[in-house]
Amino acid sequence: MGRKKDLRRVDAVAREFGIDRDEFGAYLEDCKAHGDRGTENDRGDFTWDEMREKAREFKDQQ
Amino acid sequence: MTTATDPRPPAAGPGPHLLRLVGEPFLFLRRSYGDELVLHFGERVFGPARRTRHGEFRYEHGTYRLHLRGSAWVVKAGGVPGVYAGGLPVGDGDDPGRPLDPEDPTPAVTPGARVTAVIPFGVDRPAVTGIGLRVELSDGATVVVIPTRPDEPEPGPDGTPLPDPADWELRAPDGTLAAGPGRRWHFTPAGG
Repeated sequence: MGRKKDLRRVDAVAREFGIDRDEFGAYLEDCKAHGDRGTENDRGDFTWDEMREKAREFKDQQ
Repeated sequence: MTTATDPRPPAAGPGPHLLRLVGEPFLFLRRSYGDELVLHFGERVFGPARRTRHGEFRYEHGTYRLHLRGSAWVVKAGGVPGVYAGGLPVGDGDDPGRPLDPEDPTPAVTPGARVTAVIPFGVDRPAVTGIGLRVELSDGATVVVIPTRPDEPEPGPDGTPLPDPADWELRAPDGTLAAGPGRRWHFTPAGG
């Protein structure tokens, strides 16, 4: 089942950057699937700073 | 494990919004960040193309999406025998059920199966009060969503506590229905 800690984090970052939470969450999973992983844990989850950087990338990619 | 449930739907509950999902075809399911299970229904839509360092990314989704957020869930398969579960024991003892693989060639829910019923129900058990959800489909599959207890409060980077996510959400063309945490729900119109 979903991990609430991670959901709170992606919700907060999506709000901070004004981006669509659903698409951003899918984007993060797409990054992980392509080896672009974070350093939070063995799952490759993203730290706060790493997720913010991903949000900046996401906004810049059109 | 037993779950105490109130069979009566919450007063002035989310039923009218949930009825919009009835009749919509199931498309696929995906796991989003945080291991959140998302079920997609309706028409298949692709978001704008994004050029990433690892290639093009386009967000593929349904016009209706059921986000299970941090809730526990059970999927009883329709076309093929099987019970899948996340966060709930099923069957005897502590059987965790089968893991649900979105890439499984024999999907738990048949693509194209239509939603026949969407039923909210009250959940009231130790440490958890909320609104559960049962979705029934025309292939015989059933999805049940059960809210779970809140995690310990977590501060954000600025030190203020982060809000708990909803127990589940239904995204529809006209807006988002969110249930929980707790025995509450709210609807946010699209664009609002």
